[in-house]
Amino acid sequence: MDEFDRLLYQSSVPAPPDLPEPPKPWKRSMGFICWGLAFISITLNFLSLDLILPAVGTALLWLGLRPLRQENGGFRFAYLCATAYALLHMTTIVLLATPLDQFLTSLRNADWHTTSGSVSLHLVLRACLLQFLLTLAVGGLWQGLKGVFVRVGQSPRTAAAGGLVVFEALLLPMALIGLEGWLLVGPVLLVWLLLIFNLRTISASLDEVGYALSPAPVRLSAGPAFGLWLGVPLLAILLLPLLFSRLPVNSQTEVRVPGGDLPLREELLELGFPEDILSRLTDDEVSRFDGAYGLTVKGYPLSSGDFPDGIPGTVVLEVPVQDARYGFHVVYLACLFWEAEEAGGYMEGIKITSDHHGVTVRTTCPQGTLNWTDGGVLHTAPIRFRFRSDGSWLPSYFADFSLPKTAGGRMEGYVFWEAMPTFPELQILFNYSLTAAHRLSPWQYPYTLPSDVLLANRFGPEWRSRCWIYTGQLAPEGEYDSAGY
Amino acid sequence: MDYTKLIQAMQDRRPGAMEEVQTAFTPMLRYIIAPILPDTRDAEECLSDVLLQAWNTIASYDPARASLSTWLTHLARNAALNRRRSNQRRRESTALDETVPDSREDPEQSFLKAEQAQALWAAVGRLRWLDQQLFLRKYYYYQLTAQIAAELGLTVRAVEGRLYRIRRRLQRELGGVYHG
Repeated sequence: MDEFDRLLYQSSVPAPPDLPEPPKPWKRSMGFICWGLAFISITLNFLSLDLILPAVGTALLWLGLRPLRQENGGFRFAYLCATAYALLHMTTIVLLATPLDQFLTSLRNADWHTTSGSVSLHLVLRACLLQFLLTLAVGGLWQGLKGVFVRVGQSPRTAAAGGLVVFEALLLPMALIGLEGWLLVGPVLLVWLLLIFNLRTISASLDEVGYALSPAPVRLSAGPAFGLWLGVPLLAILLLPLLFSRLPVNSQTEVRVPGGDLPLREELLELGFPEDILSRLTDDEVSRFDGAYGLTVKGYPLSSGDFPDGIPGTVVLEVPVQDARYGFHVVYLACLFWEAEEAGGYMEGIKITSDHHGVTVRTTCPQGTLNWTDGGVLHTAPIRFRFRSDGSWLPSYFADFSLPKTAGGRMEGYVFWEAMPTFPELQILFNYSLTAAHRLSPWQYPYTLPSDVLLANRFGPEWRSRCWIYTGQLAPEGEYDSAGY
Repeated sequence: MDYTKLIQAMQDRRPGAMEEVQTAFTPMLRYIIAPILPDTRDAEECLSDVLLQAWNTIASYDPARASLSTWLTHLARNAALNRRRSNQRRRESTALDETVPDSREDPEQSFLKAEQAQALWAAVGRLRWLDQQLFLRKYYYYQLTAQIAAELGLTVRAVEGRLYRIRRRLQRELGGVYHG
């Protein structure tokens, strides 16, 4: 105690001209809680506010309940739930910035179907757990407030807190069903605003009569604690996506030997197979065209304007071949070309919808390789496709990969798939498409693979995409007409 | 909360009005008195005095100047301080002989003290909201640092640090005007 402190303390500071309001032990905590609940529930989808506001709200709710945890059992329970909620919320934000979340989703690759679309089951379960914890926290708050009124012998005036519990509990099934629209959301928002306002009134009444608190001591002041709760997720959002801006390139697994002296090569050249493409294919790849009796080439030759913003130049070849099992089938080869300056780009995605009608033909899963030269050596990396159906149930195959960091020249991707006839005696025309996506920015939150963007068909400013739609033909030998469509 | 009816009931000396005041404000009055009079018996006696004083002086209460809770707080704080001073004097009078000069203030001293108080509160008014709260709680309501820290969600060290900075600032601004 210094001299000035002693003077102030011992001389009993006289009353100011305007009588000061009495200290309000509940005001700060209840203010934090009300604002916290408000920020958690508000969803504004611009300027990343949909991430920032709930993070601020979670921190405020925790800060508000922290000093009250020794008040009674209800508040203690609410504090524990708010802590669990804040930890889960922070973990969710951090996970969404990394591929780990995609991995967790892939462990149980199931979707939950709502009226507004399909959502990954894993995300739905996590959102439900968060909402459940929030409901429990509000329930604890309700019981805690009731306990305070009962302790001082007054009838509880906590209907708003009880209403808020019902409201938070109702949000759970509403989200599961996927109810949207202003007609429903509007009244719900109004009720919620009334409840929050009434909760604030409860805290004012607690202050007015000055119910003393048994506040719990804290090890970290509100400011630094708030900074920590907010800083960790914000740092995760800002920095983690930069660490995962590329996909690993599983290259150098084999050395590719293009060219060869198969007699089939001569036959293909006679059918009109582009010589420069054929010379880049291995004998194994060329043997897929064994029994070819026709050829259609789309997009050849490539022009220099075919490579805007990292999108590959594309040539697609359709080769019907004789087949012992079906009589014939068609082999498709999509050739993708990236210029050398695209090396080291962030992420590439390819979507192949092998039949737009979905039932006209039977197709195989595409298989592809990415080839490039580095230091004079040819390198190969597999392009792996997986089947996913989008919201319109269009069967499509998706591949995600990154181009190598260094390449001595053009990078080439060769993707093969086959189409088998359902009715071999008929000539069948159908549409198929190839879509390429390219990520321009190193930062993206949440972590999203090109296939997710292609599946949702929603391309943000950090993405470029291009779609080629072609008509395919399934016809037996003699009926196949490469100029007929 | 609107206490107009309760104030009217007290002013009209209606039966039951006092019980209502007791039920509504006893926790708050205890909260104000407790840090100044840590002894429970003293605090309870003081609480009774305050309620009696409120009942007797309700006619002089002006709702335009302060809310009922603020007025009651003021009564409680002053009553508790008076009781603490008289307790102290009683203890000192048994310890010291009667050669100690009379400590009552003369009119000049009272005038100086009022001027100092005005300067002090003007300086406090220029502090930030949280610092004002800390000053009021510590030096006007005599709350313990640990209580202030817990209620405001701060560590004891943080409160001590802030109070130290507040005192330095006030000392600087008052420039020797305030001598206690």
